[in-house]
This record gives sequence, structure tokens and C-alpha cells, in this order.
Amino acid sequence: MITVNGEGLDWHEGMTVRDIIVARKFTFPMLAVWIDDSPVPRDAFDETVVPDGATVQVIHMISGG
Amino acid sequence: MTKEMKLIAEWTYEPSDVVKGYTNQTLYVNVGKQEFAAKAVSEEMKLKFTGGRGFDLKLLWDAVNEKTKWNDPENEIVISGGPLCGITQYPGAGKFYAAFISPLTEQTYDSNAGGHFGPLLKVAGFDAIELQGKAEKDVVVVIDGDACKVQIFESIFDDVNAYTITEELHELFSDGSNDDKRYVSVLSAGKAAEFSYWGCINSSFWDIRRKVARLKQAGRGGGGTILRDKKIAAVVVKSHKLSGDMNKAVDIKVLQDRGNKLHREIHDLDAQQCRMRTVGTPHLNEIMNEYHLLPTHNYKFGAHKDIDKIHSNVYEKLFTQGIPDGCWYGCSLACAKAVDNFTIQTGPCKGKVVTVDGPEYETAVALGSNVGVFDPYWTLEGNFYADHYGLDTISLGTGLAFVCECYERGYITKEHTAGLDLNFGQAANLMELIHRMALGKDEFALAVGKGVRQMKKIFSERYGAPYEEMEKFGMEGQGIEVSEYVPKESIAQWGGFFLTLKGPQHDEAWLIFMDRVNKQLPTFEDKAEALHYFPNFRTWFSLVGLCKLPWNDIEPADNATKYRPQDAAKVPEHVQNYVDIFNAVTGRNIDKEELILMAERVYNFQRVFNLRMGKGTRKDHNIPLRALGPVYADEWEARPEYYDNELKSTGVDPAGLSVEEKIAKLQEARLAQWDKLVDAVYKRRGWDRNGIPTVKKLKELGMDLPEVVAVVEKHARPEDQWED
Repeated sequence: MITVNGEGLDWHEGMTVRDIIVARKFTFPMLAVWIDDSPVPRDAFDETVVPDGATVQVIHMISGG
Repeated sequence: MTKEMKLIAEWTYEPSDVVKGYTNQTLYVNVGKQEFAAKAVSEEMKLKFTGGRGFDLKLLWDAVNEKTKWNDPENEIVISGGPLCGITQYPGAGKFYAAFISPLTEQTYDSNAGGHFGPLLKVAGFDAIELQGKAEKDVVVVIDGDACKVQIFESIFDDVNAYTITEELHELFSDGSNDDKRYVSVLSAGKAAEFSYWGCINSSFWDIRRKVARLKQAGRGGGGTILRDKKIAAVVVKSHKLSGDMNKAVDIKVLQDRGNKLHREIHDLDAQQCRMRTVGTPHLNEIMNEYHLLPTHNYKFGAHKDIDKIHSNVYEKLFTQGIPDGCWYGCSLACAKAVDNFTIQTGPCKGKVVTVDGPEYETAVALGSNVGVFDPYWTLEGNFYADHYGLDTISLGTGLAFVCECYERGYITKEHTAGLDLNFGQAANLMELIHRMALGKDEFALAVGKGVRQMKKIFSERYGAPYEEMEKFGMEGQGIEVSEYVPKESIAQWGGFFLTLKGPQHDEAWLIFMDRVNKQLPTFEDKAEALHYFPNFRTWFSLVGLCKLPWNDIEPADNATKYRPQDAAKVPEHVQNYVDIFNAVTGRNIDKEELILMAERVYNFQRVFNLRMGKGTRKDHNIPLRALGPVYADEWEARPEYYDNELKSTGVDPAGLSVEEKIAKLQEARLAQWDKLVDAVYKRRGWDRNGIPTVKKLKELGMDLPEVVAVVEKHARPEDQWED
């Protein structure tokens, strides 16, 4: 189990940041992801593996006028 | 060509060159008394009000009194760009801001537009223009910056609709060549603005590539209604003094450096971020749908199965690609999209092939999913006619959505609508109603144009519709219609829409993601802090003449990793850019804290101004129940598990409750949360429990002007003061 934006999400071996984004249907393009206080570059979402028990923040930046 | 228009009055003025972003004088024109004047701008006025909307409100304050109504002659439309308006080195610098006493809200309103009017007014010699009085016949006001003359002509135009009169005036006040027309800009409204409170102010620029006039809108609040009430058919400004350094900045190299950096970001990153250059703001259509934030059927629902029909990819194909924007020089973000060679299907322009400016996201939704129409061609036609007739597309769409729901619920029938079936999705009949509004054709069309707040009263009194029910789903605050985001899932966004100076527009704070999705604002104090910072930060743009989109619709590549999430949301590098370019133009030495202070001064001044006009207290921060949560069973049943969980989070077990009981319980809980939010926000802003800025706060801001303090002291009550 991991925590994503304060809510629980089932974890599986090899789970990546992209898997979380897909599971949560986060389609907004301007995301900032932090795993346990470490930032993850956007171009590394596909390969960055999330450890079990991690606290993940998937921050949607504001946009729009 | 001007010989064809009868000159009524003329005034010659001393030219005043732009220095450090200011001309240091403003222009006063009274179209009723045919009076003109130049007013000096003092250093104190610049320090306290900065420019743009700040200047507008200062001049408007001096022009009106506490009894002034929107259609009184002393009401003004005041227009100002601000000290950064007109710079070409940094994207998004062509904005002007218009302020007036609104027919919809009966208090101050400010609305902004792109186009070339703001920069041209400045090089013509003025930091602002006040338009006061009422003419007897339709007039055209002309500011000729080349000849240093201001003229009032009797209008010769039978058709005051925006595209017609704008194209003709670009022709009349240029030498007729494509190149020369770009030194002219025209403000206009349109025929519907004569019959509706939703009148917008159209602001033109000449698109030299398309060889047509393009229109941007100061859409909200009814400025166009006032323009036509004053019998001003158009305002023309012309000047050939435009240049890349028209503001005579103190340090143009800083402007170039910051601008070049942002141009590179846009070039390298826009395609992966918001796609502003190819799609513009409609990139949000499907995103809002995914997050249940897309207003659908008068904000009942936040998503719809037909979203693919209005997907951004559809609009991307409709928008002409590869042509620079042109909204203002130097803006490489280029969000001002247009659809070329569009053939109009209905109304007085039927068969005509036109360029449609837009739609932006708000219009694509207001004249789309919110009225149950998922046909982009219908939306384009609605966008064209709204601009042409001078109607705000947001209020129009939200207002029509309210009409559809009243019709769906049987509160109004064909008997009342002059034969029109106005259920959601009745595209042809809704377009017919828009045409009828432009002609003031029947009492129903006239009633719709008065806005949701008035419709609730009129439908109740005239047609027997239940007022209390309409109060639940009439999506307005302070008298103006909600813009196009579903607010009911975010407590912070209740404040972003309904704890604003002028009603629920998207100009102050958009906090749904921060609050609801990111969970960055867990406490009421956190929400209040965001509802302090973002409205003030955004207000700053309105003081200096900038567009907000280059702030956060593009971000540096490392913004999301370099800064902690709470800070990253502010896009710190871009905030510093704004500090730097303000200092580079004006020679001042502000920092990011001073930037907020500058905005807070005007924000609080405007709040007191509204108090002076008989508004501006807690009772005026109304919120419809649908903004708080579902009000009818179909809304709940569209997401039953989600709403059951929402109810559980308030401590109520939904088991065994009917849907109606669940709705009542959730509404009860959310109303209590609303009260807590209001208290927290007022306290953070330095206002008392009744929403009035305290004298202490005004002193802190240096805005304890005697006339401002007098208004506060007249209305403040001891029982509303905080204990600590």
C-alpha cells in the first residue's frame, strides 16, 4: 500500500509513477511528482519505480487565466 | 472619409510622451456635455494605484457617488492599460482593463481585453480614458494620437454590430491599406448590448495576415451595455507612434533577457505542457471532463459521454494553424485562436464567410456542454454572434443553461418563450433566442438578457416559477453568472468564485486542483491563505497591463522539481520575471512582497468602493446551493458512490437514507463549511466578520485615505470585529 495525495492506493511490485497516474486517471499534463520528499522529473515518470509504503504527491499545477 | 461623419465636438491636447511606462496624464471625455480634459497623474496616484484597474477605480471613485446607478450619466467606463502595457519584449503585454458600475452587480466591475487599444491609447498620450455622460444620438469617439485631437462624431452607422462597425472604422481611420489599419483599434459593443445586461466591450486589432479585424473581449460585467446606454457606437484610437520601446523602459536589456528566456520556454515546452500555441485554452475541455469539472447541463454534472465531440483535438483541426497570434506584438504563447472560412448558417449574416475569433475554453463550454450542445460548429456560430451582437459568452451560456433547466423542470413553457422549446441541447432554438435577444424582440428575450438574478425574479413574478427552487440552481453570485468550472467539489473554489470582489469569474483564484486533487489545502486556514495570495497576485496583472496566461500556462522545465509543491504552484521564476520587468520599465525597486502589497492596496480599495455603493458585506457574498453540492437526485445518482463517501466524510452514515435525505444532509454540512471558510478568509484578508476591511488593515496598506476610512467607519459595527 502507498499513499497518493493522502489517500491509499494498492501497491504492486515494479509499480511506476506512470502506473499511479494511469490508475488515478490524472490526465492533466502539468504534474509535479514527489516520492518521499524527492522530486521526480516528468521525463522519468515511465521508469521511476515507487517503493511499497511510499508517500507520493502528484501535484497538479494550476493553469488557466 | 471622416467628412461623412458629422463632427460634433473637437478638442486639441498637448502630447505627453511615455516615460518609464507612464504618460502621466489621463483623458476625460463627456459625450453628453461634449467636454474634454486632461488630468495629471500624480506620483502618489502611481504609488497607491499603480495603473490599469487601479487607475480605473480611482478615477471612477472620483466620478460617482454612493447613489449612482449603472445607467446614470455620471457612471463611467474607465479604461487603462498600466505601466507594462505595450511592451513587446515579454509575452502577454497588450491588455487593458475597463471598470464601471455594473448593471448586473450594481457595484464596481472590472474586465480586461487584449487587442491593441490599450497600447495605442498610451502612445496617443494617455494612461487612461474616462467616458462619462450620455449622448443624445449615437456617437463615435475618436482619439487621434497623430493629430493630438479628440473628436466626437455623430455616428453614420445603421449597423452597430461589432464586426461591421469595427471593419468600417479601421477603413475610415487608416489610409485604407492593410498595413496602415494596424495603427487603429476600435472599441464597440453591438445591438444586443442595447437590450441585455450582458453587453461586452469588443476590442479590435487588425490581423494583417488574414486582412480582417479580430475582436477580443472585455466580456464580463456589462461594460458594453453601458457603452450603448451612453449611445457610444464605438471608440477609435489611432497612432503611428508604436515602437518596440514605446514605454521608454529604464533598462530594456532586462526586458529582452527575461522575454527571451520565456520565449525559449514556450518554444521548447508548450507542446508538452498546455499546447497553447496549437489549441489554446480549449486544451482544458477533456481534462475538465476527466476530473468532473466540466459544466454540463447548468452545472448539474461535471462530465458527459459526448466529450469527444468537443475534444481539443476537434478544435485543433478547426483552428487555422501556423499563423502568429497578433493579439499583441511579442506574445509567442499565441493563445488567440481563430477559425477561418467559416460559413454562417443562421441570422442576419447567414451565408457569409467569416473568421471566428475563438472559442476559448470558457466559450467552448458555456456555449457547449453547459447548454447540452456538443456541436463545435454551433459553438462557433454562437461565439461569432455573441461577439458581433456584443454579448459576454460566459454569462450568455450560463444564463441559457439556467433557462434550459427552468424549461426542463416545467417552470417556463413555450407559452412563455414565444414558442421555443428550450430543453438542453435544443441548438437551433437556443440560437434563435440569441438572435431574438439582439433585436429585443419579445418580452422573454428581454428577460433572459437581464441575467440569472433578474430572471429568477421575473420568471417567478410573471410565470409563477418557484423562486426558492430557482435559487438553488441559478448559478450566480453578486448578480453575475458563474464562469465555466464546476465548483461543488472544492471548498477553496467556493471562495475562488464566491468570495470575490465582483462575483464568480475565473479572474481571482482557481484552486480546485490544489484543494481537491492535490490535497494541499487541508485546513480552512490553508484555504484562506490561498484565497489571500492568489487573488492578490492575479490582481497585480490588472494593475500593470499584463495577461495572466504566460504566468502559469507555461512553466520552466525544472519548476516541478526545483521547488516544493506549495511554492511550485506560484511558479517562482516567473514571479521574479514580473518583479524584474516591472522594475526595468518603471525604475522602481519592488520585490515579490511589494508586488502583493501593490495589489492588496487596490483590492481593498475596491472592496471599500463596493461598500460605498451599498454592497460589499457578508450578505452580498451569496452562494447558490448547487455550487456547494448536488441539489437534485439526478446529480447525486450520476456519482452515487462518490457522494455517499462525501457524506460519510461529514460524519453521516448514508445507509438507509433516501437520495433526497442524503442531499439535505450534505447541503447542511457544506453550508456549515461555507460559513467557516468565509470567517477564515475574511480574517486572513484583514476584514471584519461582515467582510469590511478594517481601518487597521487600510493603515497597514497605506490606503487610509480620508474618504476611504470615512466609508468604513460609516458601515463597520462593533459586533463584527474579531476579538484578537
